[in-house]
Amino acid sequence: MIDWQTLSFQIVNGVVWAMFLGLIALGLNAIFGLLGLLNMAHGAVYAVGAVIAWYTVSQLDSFWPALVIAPLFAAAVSVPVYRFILRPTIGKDMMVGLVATSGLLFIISDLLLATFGGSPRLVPPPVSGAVGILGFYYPTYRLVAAAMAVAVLATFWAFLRLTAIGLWIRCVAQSPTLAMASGVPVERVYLVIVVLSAALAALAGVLIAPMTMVSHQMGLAVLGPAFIVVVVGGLGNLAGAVAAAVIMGVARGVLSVFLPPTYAEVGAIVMFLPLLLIRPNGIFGGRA
Amino acid sequence: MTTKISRRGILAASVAATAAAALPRIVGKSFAAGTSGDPIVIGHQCELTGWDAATGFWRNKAATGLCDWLNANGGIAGRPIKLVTVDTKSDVDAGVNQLRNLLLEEEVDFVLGSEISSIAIASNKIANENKRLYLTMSSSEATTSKDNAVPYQFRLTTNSAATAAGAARKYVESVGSRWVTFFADIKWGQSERDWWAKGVAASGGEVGNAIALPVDAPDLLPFVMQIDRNADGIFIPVLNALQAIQLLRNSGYDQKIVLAGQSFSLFDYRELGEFGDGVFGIETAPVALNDMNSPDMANIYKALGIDENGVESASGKVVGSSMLLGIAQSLGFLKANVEQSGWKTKADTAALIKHAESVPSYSKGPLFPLGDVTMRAQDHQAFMDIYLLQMQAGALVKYGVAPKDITIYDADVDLTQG
Repeated sequence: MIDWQTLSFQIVNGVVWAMFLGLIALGLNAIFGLLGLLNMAHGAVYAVGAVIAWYTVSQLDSFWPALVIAPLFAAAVSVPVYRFILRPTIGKDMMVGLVATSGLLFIISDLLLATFGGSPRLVPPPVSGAVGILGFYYPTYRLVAAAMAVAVLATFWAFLRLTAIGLWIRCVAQSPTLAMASGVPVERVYLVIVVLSAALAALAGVLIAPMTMVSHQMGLAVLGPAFIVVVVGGLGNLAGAVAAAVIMGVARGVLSVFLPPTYAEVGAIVMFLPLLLIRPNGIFGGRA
Repeated sequence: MTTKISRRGILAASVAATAAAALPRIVGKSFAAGTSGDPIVIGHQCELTGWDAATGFWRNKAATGLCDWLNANGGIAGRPIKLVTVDTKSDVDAGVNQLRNLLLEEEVDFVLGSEISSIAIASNKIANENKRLYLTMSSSEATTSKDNAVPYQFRLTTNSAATAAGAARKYVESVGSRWVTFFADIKWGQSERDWWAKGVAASGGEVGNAIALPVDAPDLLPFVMQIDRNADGIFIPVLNALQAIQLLRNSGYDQKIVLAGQSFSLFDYRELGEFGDGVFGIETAPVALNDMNSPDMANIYKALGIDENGVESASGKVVGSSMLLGIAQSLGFLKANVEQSGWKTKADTAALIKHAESVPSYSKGPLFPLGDVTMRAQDHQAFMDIYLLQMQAGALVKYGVAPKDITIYDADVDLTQG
């Protein structure tokens, strides 16, 4: 007998969580699409965002400033990181970038351990209460945070489609050489995408902080699912990554109604295998 | 006159300054008060980084501080102690590699083992093959039972079976008979789930359902929502207990919550704030000194820079007191058995184990600060009083004590038979 209420809850929660995963995967995907880099440090930036949220709440007694502070901090730090670590790896073998960003991941994680400590922390939800949906109550903050994530995703899409820099980004994604020959400042485009990617990851960390436990290691746990949705969505394909995040989130939730949770996790990943066979270039094919 | 400062000069000065700063410490360790001869080398397989770094912090602090204290007080059998600490990174592969490093490169005499059950289970057999004594810090009963019980392993801390046997009756009496278990789907969580169900059943209660939680699940809400709202109590052996408690309270679950053994070492209880009020825990040591009445524990706190409320002065962190006790008792076990068995080299370790199997208990003292500890020879498991703690008005206080005799469960192996 199917418990429809539980099933509805899992679907709603899967979609909500997918918005955050999409936000994380967005930056990961953009950096791969433009710089050809698998950025292992992306999860660590997400953890930095969550840690900043904790510090903001404990120092300022308010959660909301973290939505500005964390992305700005991540964006500022990403400039020298790009100049001295990421830029020298562009155009080289993918393993070079992988090793460089893995090193960055360990450095950031251990810096967090040294400063924030090994003990996990809690960030209380800034919006309390629950909303009745389809016969169950769902935490209001999660809906607010998901709406903010959707707004950011939509803004990013509009930025890509409606601005000159967005056009340049799409040009560079198609062909850096042709873009450069056409006068597109490729270097600046790379920098912009690295800065945006870091800011988005940090923002995702802030939004998720009140829903999870803040720890120096939290970036590692999110890296696996984020890479999966990037690969399934299509490397370099932004809309595909968001769609894959939704499929993964909902599949995981729905399967957990019928299977033990560990098997549901495996099942959600296995479900992607035929999709990879049928659509090897991603859900929507090709690059954006 | 101008002085030219070169980068090379600064580098050389820095190296010299670092060496000068390190020298007193090295000399101090080499000529520890009242000790002579070759040092006894103790390896420490510790979680300095990774997800279990919070508990590793306290084991590292305890091992370092207590070895210094031992060296300043005659060492072990008059010999100084050299502590070699390695980082498992809270990862099985790294932990096992580091154990091999301790055994083969550092040639340690004894090992203070990992707290993570999967690392401990993989490591104890390697230590056994190398005939090196492994003092496990894992609290999963499975680490010392059936195929995982090996002669060269002892446990001087408690485990999931003992804590369930000691605490379940008290909590069934005070909370109610209907329980739900919300457990991490790993060896430790499964062990806690099984033993808690047995303990509750033996006390006339019942565990209705047990909800498994993938160990790295970032979102616990889907699992929290499966918990039966009619249960009287919720038993939680999960790594992310902080998040679980916050979600339970935010989702309207007002049942009594009991955290599994030694969970309060995984995080700073103050982080729970108002969500933590009434939450129970099961530990081998309370946090505040006035809950212990132990001058020996007060000395340990003082030596480690921890105040009477259990807060480390330097970092402001709340002590993982069960972690301190586990290390203290492990060192106390080594000291007693090395000195009593006449152990001189690694070749004498088998004889030390035989001797340790003949010692039924260890008396309260500097390294057994909270009371006598019983050692069961059959599975090399120690039994001690279990403290039931509760968060009340923002503090973690003693709620009750389960005497060690009621924590004893049946052994399923007999290592004394060779």
